Amino acid sequence: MDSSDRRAVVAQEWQRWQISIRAYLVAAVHNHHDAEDLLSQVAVAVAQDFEKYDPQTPFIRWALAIARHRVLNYRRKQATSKLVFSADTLELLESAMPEEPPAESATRAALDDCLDKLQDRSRQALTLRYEQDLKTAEIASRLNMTPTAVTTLMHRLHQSLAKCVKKALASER
Amino acid sequence: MNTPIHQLEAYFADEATEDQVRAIEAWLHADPANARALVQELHFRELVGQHLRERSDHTSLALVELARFEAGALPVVVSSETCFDDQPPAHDKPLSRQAVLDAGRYVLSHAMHNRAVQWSLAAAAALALALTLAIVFAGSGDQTASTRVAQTPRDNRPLNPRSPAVPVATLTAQHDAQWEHDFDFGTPELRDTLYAGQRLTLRTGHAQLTTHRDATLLLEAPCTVELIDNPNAIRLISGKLVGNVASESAKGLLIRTPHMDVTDLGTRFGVACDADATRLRVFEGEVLASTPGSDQVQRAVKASESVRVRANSDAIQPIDDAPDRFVTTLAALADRPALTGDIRYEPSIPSDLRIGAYEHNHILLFTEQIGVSLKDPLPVNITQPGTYADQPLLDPALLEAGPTVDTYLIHLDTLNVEGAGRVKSATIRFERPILGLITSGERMARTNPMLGLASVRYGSETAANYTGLDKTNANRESVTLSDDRLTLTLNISTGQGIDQFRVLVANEPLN
Repeated sequence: MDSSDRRAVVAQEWQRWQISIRAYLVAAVHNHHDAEDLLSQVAVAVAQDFEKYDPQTPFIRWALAIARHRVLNYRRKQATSKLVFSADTLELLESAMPEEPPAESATRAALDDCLDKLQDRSRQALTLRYEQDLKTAEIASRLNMTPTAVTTLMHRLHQSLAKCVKKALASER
Repeated sequence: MNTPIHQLEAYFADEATEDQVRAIEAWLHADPANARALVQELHFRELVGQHLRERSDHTSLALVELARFEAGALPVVVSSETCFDDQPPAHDKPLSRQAVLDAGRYVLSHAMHNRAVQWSLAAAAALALALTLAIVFAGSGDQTASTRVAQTPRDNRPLNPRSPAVPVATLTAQHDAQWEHDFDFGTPELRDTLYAGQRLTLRTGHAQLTTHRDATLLLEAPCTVELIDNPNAIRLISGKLVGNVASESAKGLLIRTPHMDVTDLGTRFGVACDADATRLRVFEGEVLASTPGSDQVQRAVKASESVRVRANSDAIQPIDDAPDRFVTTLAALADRPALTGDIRYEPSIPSDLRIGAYEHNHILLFTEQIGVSLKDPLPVNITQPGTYADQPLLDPALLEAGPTVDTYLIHLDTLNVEGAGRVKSATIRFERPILGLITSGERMARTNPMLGLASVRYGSETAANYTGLDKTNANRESVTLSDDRLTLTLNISTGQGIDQFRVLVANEPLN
């Protein structure tokens, strides 16, 4: 496999696995902003080191190894390092990564329908969380709820969405 | 996920405390399935977040163009002019529409997300990479300032045809089932497709899964199974199940427990698994039992035989008196008797049914056991159709050994305010024939261990003389078994005591 072929493989694999790598980083540092920055670092490292990638190795394992080093570096530099998962836990999460990435496009199509079924307040809560990036206390204040109620609402909303998406995907088969 | 939801939600919201992070780490290490569950939940939330950001009103021009491209309105032009001076070499492979969309989504998701968190150099680098990837993927085209992507026919196939969600079974029936919620797959519902990797924990009741090879697996709570990437196999983590292989396609059904592999050869069998051992009982045909270790031991187990493999042992031991009772068919559970009159069916049986412990204004009907195999002749009170109002006539009746029965309990303990002694009348119509009735307190007490539930305290346990069909008011109480054996008519009342009768119904239609 020549360099351009290898680059193409890496490009394709990055597209397939990008959301999984981001999920891993969010899991590792549980701070979406920092995870975003780390994802950028991993992306650059993947682009720079694509020659080192062995196509016989699952791309996600190679990319996660890069990501783990970035997380451990990040952990050393952070004053709040105790909020970052340990190396053991990172390896556990790597081993828990599925063999195949999630069916993103099909899930997105199903999500559209499922989001439309939500009640206004539920949709508003998700908007405040995901689009405006607000903390639980702020969401509670905006929606005139207690923080505990917001937490419970978020839990149930994601449960409902997951169930709805699962049903939609199953019905397509 | 059993870790408290507030810990996990704090974690998902970037608000977890150090203690919560440590608690989540401990939870992750407790079971590999927890790590898988967390990763999949994060995947899902990432998709939700990304999708919502893209749906937001702050749609960028690029997103509009992307959407128009997706609709087939125009080709997309991926501009790299401002990002790269040294473009990577062109590639021969054409750029797929999906790759462009995903690259665009990646770029846009970064751009939109970072509106809130300030555009950073690192994010710009990621943007550069995404564009690089898109251009590499774009293949041919000019290598100057921009790369034009040829419009391709619309392709509606999923991005990843080899989806990780491999359907392997369907939830085809359940009775009073309560499931443990699974973050990844939700709570199973009737007719849900079940996927490889899905772990199911049945807390109460019974449920039937049908594999895509047409084998049925009847789970009895409490039970945990895990589906694997094989439509004719299942992992039994703990609890009991009955496998039924009625079709050719299902032959070879494999039940794997920590102690034993059970391979069906076209038959029906029950497997019970706990931390100490796995026990196998074969009802029909033949089954191959084997141990999972390197020194694999195999044994063919035939109908009516039971074997056991203990933890940390490779020996497959025959056992004469297996402690497990298996529900062999869900039909009896699914088909509730039809009721008329002063009677109610209650799906769960209370733990205390002694005098005064569970009073009600109606006669109550409970399901006790399903699929009890009568190995020996059983003394009962009534086996033949007719009306019985005189206790001496009820003795002696004997139910022959052989059949498999479901047992139901009729319970009347009238509220005192209702007025003791008032006659309650009701009919119960079963789907399958009634083989026998136990109406005396003494025989109730004798059959409680075998036909009742160990978790229930019956009236006959402490006051057998007061729990059967009364002897002293024969003119007022009667029990009628219809000629077709399907209907039971009751006219009963209680004074100081209670009435508890046991009905034995054929587990399967009689030939």
